[in-house]
Amino acid sequence: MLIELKDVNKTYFGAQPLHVLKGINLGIERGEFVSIMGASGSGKSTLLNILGILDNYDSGEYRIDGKLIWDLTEAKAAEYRNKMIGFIFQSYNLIGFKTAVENVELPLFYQGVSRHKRHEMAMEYIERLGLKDWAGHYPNEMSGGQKQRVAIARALVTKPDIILADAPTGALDSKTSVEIMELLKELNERDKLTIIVVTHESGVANYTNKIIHIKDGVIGQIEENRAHDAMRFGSDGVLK
Amino acid sequence: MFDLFTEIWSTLRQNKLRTALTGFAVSWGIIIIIVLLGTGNGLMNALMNNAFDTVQNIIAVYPGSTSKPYNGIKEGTVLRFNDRDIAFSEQFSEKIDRAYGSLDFSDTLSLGKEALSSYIMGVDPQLKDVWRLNLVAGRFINKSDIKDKSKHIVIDDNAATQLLGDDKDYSKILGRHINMGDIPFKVIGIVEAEEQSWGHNSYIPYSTAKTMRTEGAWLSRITMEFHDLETKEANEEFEKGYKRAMNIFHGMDPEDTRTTYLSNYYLSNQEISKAVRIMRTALWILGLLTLLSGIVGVSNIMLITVKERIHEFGIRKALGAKPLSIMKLIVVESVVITAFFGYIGMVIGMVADFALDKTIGSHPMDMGIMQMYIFKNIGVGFDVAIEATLLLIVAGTIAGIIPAWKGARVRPIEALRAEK
Repeated sequence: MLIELKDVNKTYFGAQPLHVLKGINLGIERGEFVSIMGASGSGKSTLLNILGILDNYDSGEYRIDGKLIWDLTEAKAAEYRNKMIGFIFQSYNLIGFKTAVENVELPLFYQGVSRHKRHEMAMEYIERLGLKDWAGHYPNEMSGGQKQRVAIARALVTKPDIILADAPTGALDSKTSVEIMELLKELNERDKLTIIVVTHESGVANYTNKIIHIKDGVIGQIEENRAHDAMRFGSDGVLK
Repeated sequence: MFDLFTEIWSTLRQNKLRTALTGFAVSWGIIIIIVLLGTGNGLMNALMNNAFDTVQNIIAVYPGSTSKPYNGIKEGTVLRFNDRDIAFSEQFSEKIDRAYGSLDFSDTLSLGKEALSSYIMGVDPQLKDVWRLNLVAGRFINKSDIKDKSKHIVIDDNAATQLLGDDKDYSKILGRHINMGDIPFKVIGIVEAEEQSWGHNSYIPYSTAKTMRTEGAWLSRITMEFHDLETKEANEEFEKGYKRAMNIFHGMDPEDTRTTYLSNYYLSNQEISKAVRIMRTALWILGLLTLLSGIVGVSNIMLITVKERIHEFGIRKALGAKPLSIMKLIVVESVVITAFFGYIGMVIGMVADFALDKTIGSHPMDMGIMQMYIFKNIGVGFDVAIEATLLLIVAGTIAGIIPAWKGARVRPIEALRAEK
């Protein structure tokens, strides 16, 4: 089991304590292509943050590849994120004053990869995602789909165990959304990458092989979706 | 390190105006420091130069006169020094290493048609070192001159030039005979004229001077070299004892303080070095306070920068940036801004010092009877440049540390949620 959550709880302590995750149990195998679906306020974002080691949990157990993720220092958490997780965000989160290829180089920079080697590796992924001619462009010179492909290249370049995609098509039009989901699907099938997509769009979820429903902080139904017919929008590939 | 600088360069390029304005505050602080210290040094150099360009442990004794009648001696009786007083001074204390007499008078020096008035000092050979005379040609009075009472004279370069009829090549006068009154003297050496001089100084052997002053041959001055008088108190104690002993030696009132005048170069120098130290410290403090406003400026800007870049730091953290690397990014940026603009300020400050030195620093103030430098050699040394550089690096680090801490501490999810 690549990802293992056992009775994970998370409460936000504010004026009114908010019990967001109420004992999450979940297992994801290596090479799976799954989606976590839920409405806003369901706790899916919190779950994603915990999966991405961006946030900590109050009780329970979270293991990646058997390694317990608990009580990490900031530095250790950063190291784990860098090595094990590739992030794809809804708003791309590219650094504006860096070119496409420099953005892709960034995680390698934090791994201490040499300048030359870093550039070489980043270019390889930029090319794989069909952005060769855009390598030297800044994010504001690119379309949404191009930016998201840069972000995907950045997520892939460290060869992480897990790709975490947080509403990857949320800011894209339907045609580009299809392209991006097809790309993720292909990466899962061809490169056997473990991809977790968090979304509230059923069309996006329909691209994945397994749909995990989360509601009010608990895991609800888990659908096997090998046929990609779980959703009424599934058959014709229309996402929105 | 190279990567770090490319990172910083790309962010600084983003905010050219802001970077320049921040930098200006730092440059200004450093300019103020360098100019303050430079002119301060100039003032102190001039002060030292105007005061005593001599070795330090010297007391010069000048004769005075009695201030009241005592034991049959009338008020206003002049105490006169002769060779016995030199011997007496030398034996007064084991702290006195040597005592020399000088016999001074004024006379006219002439060569052909050219003539000038000079202060003539009959001296011992050692006085060249005691007064730090700078010999530029020939030699100074030596022991055989003293022994032979030879008619040899050492004059200053200005006098030589003047006597040669405005010939700048003053060394031509070496070996020639000039007249002192109507007695010919052979010029054996030339010393550099003192900058703040009341006129010309010429030096002849002490023994020769004595033969020329027939009326009792009283000394103008006794110069004593001493050792082991380190404190002000010890010096004052010594001076009091000396005056007393000298009075008794001459049969005068032991308590009369006006019979001799003592000029203690050591004490004067000590006072001046103390004043110089205080002034230097004061200038540094002033400069540092000015720089402080620059540092606060940098710190302020860095805080704004960190706030603006919080989202970016969130991305970096998500991608694996450790808090320390974020911190390093901010501190180094702060140091780079401070050091770069500080260095510019340092260069401008040094140019300003140079310009000041070439203007007010090279023109003596005319005070009627004499000329005096208010500033001399304005500028700072290499040591100050090094100190200022270190100061800038420290200042930059201090300016960056709080913003860096803020930037490094923020949690990635909060940073990612922040406004871009």
